[in-house]
Amino acid sequence: MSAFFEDAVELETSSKQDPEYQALLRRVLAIQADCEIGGPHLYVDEMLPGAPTRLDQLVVARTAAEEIDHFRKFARLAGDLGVDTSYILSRPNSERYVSAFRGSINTWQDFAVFGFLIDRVGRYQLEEFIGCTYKPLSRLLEHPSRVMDEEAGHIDYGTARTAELASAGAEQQERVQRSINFWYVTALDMFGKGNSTRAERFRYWGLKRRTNEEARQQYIREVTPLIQGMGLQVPDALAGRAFL
Amino acid sequence: MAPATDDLPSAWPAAAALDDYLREVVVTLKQVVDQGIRHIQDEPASTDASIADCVEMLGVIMQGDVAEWVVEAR
Repeated sequence: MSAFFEDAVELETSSKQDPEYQALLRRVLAIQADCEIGGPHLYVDEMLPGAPTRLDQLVVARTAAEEIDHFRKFARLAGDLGVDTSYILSRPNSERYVSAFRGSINTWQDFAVFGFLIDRVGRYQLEEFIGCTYKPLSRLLEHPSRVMDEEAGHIDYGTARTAELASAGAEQQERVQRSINFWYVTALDMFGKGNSTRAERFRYWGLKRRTNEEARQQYIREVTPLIQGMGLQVPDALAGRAFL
Repeated sequence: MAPATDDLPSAWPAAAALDDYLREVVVTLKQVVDQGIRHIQDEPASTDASIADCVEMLGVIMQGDVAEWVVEAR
C-alpha cells in the first residue's frame, strides 16, 4: 500500500477531504493564479511600449493575454472551491507570493531571459499537477493542454530571443549575461527550500510529485547546456541563493 | 449520475462573472494582436493602432478593478 494519498478527488468530493488537503489545495491554486498574472504585471508597463519591433510588441501583448487566460483558469478552479482570488489582480508586485514576481522588467534582455528561465520554472511547477489527486486541476494540464502549449511557446520565444541577443556582439552578450546571472539564481530559488516540510505535505496528498530538490536538479540539467550553447556562463548554483 | 448539489463547496459568488469577463477580454486581445500582425508589413499605422488598443485593454486588466468588472454579480 502506498504511503501517499492517491484518491481521485473531484469538486463534488473536495469538501469531504481532510482539512489539510483542502487548505493545501486552496493555497496552491491561489499561488499558481498569482504567478500567472504576476508575469504581465512585471513587463506590460515597460515592454509593451518598449519592445524593439512592432512584432515584438504584439508578442508581448499576446503573451500577457495568454497569462491572463491562465490566471482565469486557476482563479476559476479556486473560485469553485470558494476562494476569492480577486485581490491577486490588484495587489502590488511587492506582495506577490513568489519573489521572482516582486520587481519589474525594464529591459528587453530581461524580458527574453525571463521567458527563457522563469517561464521554464513555471512549466516545471505546472507539470507537478499532471496526474495529481485533484482531478479538475490535473485535467487542465493533461495533454492536450492549451495552458502547457502556450507556456511552451513563451519558453521557446524567450529562448530564441536570448540566443539572438547573446550572438549580437560583445556588448549585448554582456548585458544578457547580467540578466542570466540575476534570473538564474531567482529561478533556482523558485523551487523552494530543499528540506521544506510543506512541500512534503503537498507530495503526501498527491498534489505534487517531485521534491523541490529533484525538480531543481532536473532544471539545472536542462538549462546548463542551453546557456552554454549560447556562449554564456552558467552562474554558480549556490551563490546568492535565498532558499537552499 | 449527477452529484448531489449539497456536496458541492460554496463557490465564490463572483467566480463565474470574473471568468466570463476575463474570457471576453482575452478573446478580444488575441483578435487585436492577430489583426496587428496581419497588417505589420503593408499598413504599419493600423498595427500601431492595434498596439495602442492592446495597451489600453491591458492597462485595464493591470489595474485589477474587479469590483467594477463584475459589479452585476455582486
